[in-house]
Formats: sequence, structure tokens, C-alpha cells
Amino acid sequence: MFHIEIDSVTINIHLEHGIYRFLKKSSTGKSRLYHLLVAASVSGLPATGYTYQDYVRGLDISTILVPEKYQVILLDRYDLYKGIGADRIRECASSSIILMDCKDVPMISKTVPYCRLKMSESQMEVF
Amino acid sequence: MLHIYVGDYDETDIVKQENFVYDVEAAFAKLKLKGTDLERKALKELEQAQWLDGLSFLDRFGYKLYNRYISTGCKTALLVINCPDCIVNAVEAGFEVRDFIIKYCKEGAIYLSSMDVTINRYQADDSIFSDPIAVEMDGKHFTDIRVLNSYIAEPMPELTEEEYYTQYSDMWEEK
Repeated sequence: MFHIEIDSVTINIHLEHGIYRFLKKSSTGKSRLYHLLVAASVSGLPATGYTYQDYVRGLDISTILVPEKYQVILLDRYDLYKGIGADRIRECASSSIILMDCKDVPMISKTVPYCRLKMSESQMEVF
Repeated sequence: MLHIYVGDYDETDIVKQENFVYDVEAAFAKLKLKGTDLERKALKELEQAQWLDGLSFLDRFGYKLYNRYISTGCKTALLVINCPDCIVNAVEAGFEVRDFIIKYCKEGAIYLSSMDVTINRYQADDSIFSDPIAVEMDGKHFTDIRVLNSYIAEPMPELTEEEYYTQYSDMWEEK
């Protein structure tokens, strides 16, 4: 299990290495989790995130697809930059937990298992 | 009339139109909410939140947050409500957002890559939305959500809405 605390929020990710998609449900806390994981990366913790706004601003997705540095990588709003970094994402999945917010077929592999996010004020659980 | 455009992004001309909104977050940042009944309903049903003013809302935990922290899905619905002349990219919206838009938005347009499942498929209760809808999809007009569901489940372009109603009415529970 992966566990960190950042901004007074406890984050537990109960998953093995691999690629996972969030369920096709809105308002579960995915973008909030993205912001927390980015804050975590800035604080030196082994988690990070990437979202469409990063892509638009020219941040190369390969800069966060570094499994040696990040045990958890969240790709928020992947529908809007679908397919970008696909090969590297597949490589990272063997040694990191890749969480994808992608309502449509992610074009990463034939089957990407689903994961759930449960959010409270001070806790986020992914399983 | 709410127009629903469904198709592969790379193969549909709809996404090339000038009024197509690709990035919901970017478009929402330029929007000013007015506090209409429908906006408040969207916040309550999709976000478990409460309207406060044009700048902020009360989230499900009771915190006052700026509107930028509304979820992307709820922002999709709010854009459809406020921009009836736009075609809003609803690919990022969950099923419950799509269903909300179909049930309550009588004008506007959304794009989806597919319909996937029928309306209300994942609702907690089995009751079917009984108010009329105003949806156009694939050149067909729908006023009854049950008929739209029949079309989603088994599209037969040659049938009219009345013919769908007749063909599938014995499968529906009585109100």
C-alpha cells in the first residue's frame, strides 16, 4: 500500500503496480487528488500528477513519468490528451501505480482495470 | 432542444465547428454563474454542494470554495446551462452528469464519443424520470426518456419515437 500525508490530508492507495482507470463518475475528488499529489512532489514525496493544463502549458509528460522518482502518478483529464506518452506510461506501470482519469478508452492497453476513489475532508482512499 | 452529437472524435465534423468547446475548464473560467434554479440544482445534485454567490460555493464538507474548485463534470453541466449556443465537449463527464443534462437541459448541445449505457442506469432507485425531455440525436427527436433509452439500447434509425414507444412499452413499468 502507498501512504502519504500532505496538506493535512492522508492519502492511501491500496493498489499494486500497474495502470488503473477511475470509474466513470464525476465529482469524486480526482482533481483534488491531482493537486495534492503535485503538492506532494514539490515537497519531495514520491507521488505526482499531470493534467491537461500542464499539457497546454507545454510541460512534457515524460518529466513526470519517472518510476525511479514517483511511486504514484496520476494522469488527470487524460481524455483531452489521450495517447500522449502511451509507451512510457506502459513502461512505468511495472514499477509505479499509474492512476488515470479517462472516461473514454485510454488507448494504453486492451484492458485497464478500474479503481475507486473515496474522499473525506482529510482522507483520500484509492482501491 | 438539447442536441446530442455522438461519434468518434477524429471522424466527426462537429468538433471542428467554431462553437465547439473542447476544454470545459478553460471555458468555465470565463463564465459567471448567476444562481439560477438550474445552476443551484446542478451544484446540489452533481456536487452535493450549495450555491453561495457568483464567486463561490459551499462544498459537501461545508467549506467555502471558489467556483474554480467545482468538479469538471459539474462544470460541464453548468456550461451547457449557460451557453446554449455552444457544443460542449462532454467526454469528461460521468454518467450522472450526462443524465442530468438530458433530464433538465431543454436547450444546448453536447458531444460524446459514445452513449455507453442507458439513462439512469446507475441511479440508486429504479424510478424512471417522468418529466418530458427535449432531445435531438441522430436526427430523431425524443420527449420520453424511456424511448431514448430504447434507442440507446437498440438503435433502429427507421423507427419514429411513436414506433419505439409502441414497440417497447410492454417492457416498461407503469408509473
